[in-house]
Amino acid sequence: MDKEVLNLLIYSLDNELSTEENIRLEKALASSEELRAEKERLLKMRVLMADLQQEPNPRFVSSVMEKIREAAEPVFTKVIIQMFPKVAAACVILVLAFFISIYVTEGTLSKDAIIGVQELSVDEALTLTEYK
Amino acid sequence: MPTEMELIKQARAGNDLAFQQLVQQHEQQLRATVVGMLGNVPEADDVAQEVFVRFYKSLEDFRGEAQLNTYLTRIAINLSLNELKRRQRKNKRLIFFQKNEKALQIEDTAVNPQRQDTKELVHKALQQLEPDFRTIIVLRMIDGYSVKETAEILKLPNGTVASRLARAQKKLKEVLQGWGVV
Repeated sequence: MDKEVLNLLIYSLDNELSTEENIRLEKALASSEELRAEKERLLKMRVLMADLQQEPNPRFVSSVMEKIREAAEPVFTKVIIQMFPKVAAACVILVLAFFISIYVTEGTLSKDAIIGVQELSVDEALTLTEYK
Repeated sequence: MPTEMELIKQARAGNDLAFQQLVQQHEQQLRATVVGMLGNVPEADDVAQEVFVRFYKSLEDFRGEAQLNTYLTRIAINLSLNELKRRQRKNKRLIFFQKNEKALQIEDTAVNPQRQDTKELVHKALQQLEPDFRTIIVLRMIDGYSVKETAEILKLPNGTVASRLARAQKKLKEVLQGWGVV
């Protein structure tokens, strides 16, 4: 089958052809049984497609309204729930960074290093208390 | 009987019954659009419902420059395309974890014409098309929009829509012919 004529046939189903194109297509249709069968198939396909309409769904409207009500729930709660994993992850990263920085600067993760009195002697601590 | 624009005004003023009437008027066509895009799957109704939820949220912004039908169809197409992308990502992950999944999928979509009714077969044939081509077929052949309207909805030039439509029809016909439907 002539591909150009076939394309013309398909095109003609949705668009207007020029007079020359129309004549060419008509002639081809008159002389080719295969092309006529192709046209029949294309038309049948269109009927089948147009038949794909949906039956009304009696629960559809109520489902939509239910979703709208759900969507109208307080935004604050939703945001908190959505944000929680991210905030938690950020906190864990901060705590880890804090410990790593202590370990890097003090070389240990002892209680004294964490509260910042690693290099403070007892005398110095007492002097500080008296100073106050 | 109130016009569509009157119903929209009433819905904007908080009249839920007016909004429900609008949903009822467009439900069938919108569901046909979404089912055409996604196939007869449970998510289709969720996506169709989401179209109206989005519309409800944007009631204030709807100025009526476009026909409501066109406006809703555009939302439906966008949401369906998003759903297809989500599905594609999910399938990729599944294929990554189950190497045999692809083979199983091919078997699943291979059609046995004797066992399925024509509507189901047409839906399955539609799923064989690339989303861009499927969109045009759905708008033109299921929803009945003209080439010009389809081009407006998709914001594409008329010529692009016409050529995609021709290619999509050819492919769809080949699939349906192969299954003995046409």
